[in-house]
Amino acid sequence: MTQDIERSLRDHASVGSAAVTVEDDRVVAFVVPAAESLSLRELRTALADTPDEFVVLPALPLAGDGTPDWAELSRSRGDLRRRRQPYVAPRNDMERYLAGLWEDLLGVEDIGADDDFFTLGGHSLLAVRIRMRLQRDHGVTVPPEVLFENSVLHEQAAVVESMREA
Amino acid sequence: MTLALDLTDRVLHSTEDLSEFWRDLRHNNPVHWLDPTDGGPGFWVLTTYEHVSAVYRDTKHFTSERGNVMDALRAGGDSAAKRMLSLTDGPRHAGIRSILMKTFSKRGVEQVGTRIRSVARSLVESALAAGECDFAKDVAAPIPLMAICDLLGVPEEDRWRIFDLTSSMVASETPDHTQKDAWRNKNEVLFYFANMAEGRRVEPRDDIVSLLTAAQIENAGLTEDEIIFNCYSLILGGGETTRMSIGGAVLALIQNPSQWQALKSGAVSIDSAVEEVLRWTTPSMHMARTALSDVEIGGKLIRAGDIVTLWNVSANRDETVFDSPDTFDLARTPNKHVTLGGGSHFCLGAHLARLEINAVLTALRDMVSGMELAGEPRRIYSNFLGGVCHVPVSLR
Ligand code: HEM
Repeated sequence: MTQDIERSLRDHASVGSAAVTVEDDRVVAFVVPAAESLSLRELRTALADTPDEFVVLPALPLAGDGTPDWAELSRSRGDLRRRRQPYVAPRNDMERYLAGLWEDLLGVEDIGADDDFFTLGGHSLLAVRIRMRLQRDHGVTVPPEVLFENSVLHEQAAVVESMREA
Repeated sequence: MTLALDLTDRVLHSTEDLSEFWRDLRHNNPVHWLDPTDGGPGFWVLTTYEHVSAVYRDTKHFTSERGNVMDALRAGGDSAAKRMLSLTDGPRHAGIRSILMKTFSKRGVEQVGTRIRSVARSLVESALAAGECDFAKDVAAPIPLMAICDLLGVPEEDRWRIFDLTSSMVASETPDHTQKDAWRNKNEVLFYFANMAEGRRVEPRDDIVSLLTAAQIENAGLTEDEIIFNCYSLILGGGETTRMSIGGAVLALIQNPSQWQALKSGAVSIDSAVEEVLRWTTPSMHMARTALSDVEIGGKLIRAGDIVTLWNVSANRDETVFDSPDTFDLARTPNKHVTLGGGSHFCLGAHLARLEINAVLTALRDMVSGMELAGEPRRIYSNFLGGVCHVPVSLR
């Protein structure tokens, strides 16, 4: 089963490389995007069998013999879990919009209202992407410091909403 | 004995004369491991000409793909890694470099040559008319900015805003410059080019942004990230460094009247003077690499993953390569300084930088009869860029 998922992941155009395993009774897929961004949502809908969780990485760590370094992968997963906040579902349209946007940009699923952009690996260029999208989809030009100071999802949603109304 | 100094300190480089420190390291500890006081990652400090130029050329053992300055590497890697020319190695690096090389070749930069020379003359003319000016701000700053904006296709009305944003990003003119400001300004510049690239896709023009959006390497276009970060690095690479060199040149000419005379009388050529100005000012104080595998340098074992810093400021004053290295000598020959780096990442803007400095020195020689300091020059605060940001002078 893990091998099937691994194979179908590798065959997908948006995936550069992939390794799938079972950890804590959950099927975990480690994926490296083929291009600069990867929508896990789209990936899920494209797969016949889907893993319980995804961990997106810039590169797949390899052991000496060229096989995936499972210990290192497990550490990456643990690291990602530590950076997450207990899940609070987004509560309004702007929160849901931003959660979806963050998920695509950060390669993380189920972004919650309390998650923090920087803690989850957000950097300058990803913030630029958020600004471009907000400009296009909502017609607001958000100054960068607003994203810097409001890096928690529900805070960010609230300021963007107030700027949109103004 | 090696003096203990923390090279990560931003203020240190601007307030202290480190010549003795570098000399001591070159002689007694040329491959030096430094553990900074902030408790963060340590790194190697290379100070001799031989080692610095060897590492620039050794792409087998050293990579730029994690970052090429100390701060970014110590923070765990540059977020633009592999997305801009200077932070890409191998075939991808060669591919992107060849796209840009046409614009930045000696012949390519001549397309802005006439304009740069006339802008330099008119800025010096205004400074003469005013009597006093801040040479670093009033003359040195606009020239590289104008040139790179012309090449990138940034319209006139946006230039000063871009300049304000970039000048506070890598270095600071005040010691208490905050991280938030730097982040904000960097973000604004990236956002600017993201928007510009979007526009050029629809309506290409004769500029670098259009060139990058249309370019193909092995039948694929550059990624959005690569386009934006390369524009960003051209603005940064071109603006601040050249400004430091030009401001520093004027200061050195004032402090060394015999050299000013040699320039004025035509005893030294402008080309030769430009090289000495580059060596003397060394705006990129250091560059950095990460070791890819264990490698020995100067009898020390550098381990895979170690951060290695290359101190151009020290290599350019190496007494085994430069006679009287602490003398500003416009006729110096040979003058194979490492101010512009070396090897495959050798400064892409080298011809442009030389053209710009040349234009200012020529204007000074032809139009100015005397220069004096009209106030205290001030240096910027940075552990990467070094030089003067304020040079108050009176011109006759
Ligand atoms: C006096 C002025 C300048 C100085 C001191 C300077 C210094 C340097 C140095 C030391 C490097 C090597 C970086 C490394 O090895 O990691 C470099 C690379 C580079 N410089 Fe300059 N530079 C100057 C002017 C310019 C200008 C005017 C531009 C462009 C408009 C420019 C664009 C670049 C670029 C794009 C690279 C990366 C090249 C590559 O990785 O292949 N520089 N510069």
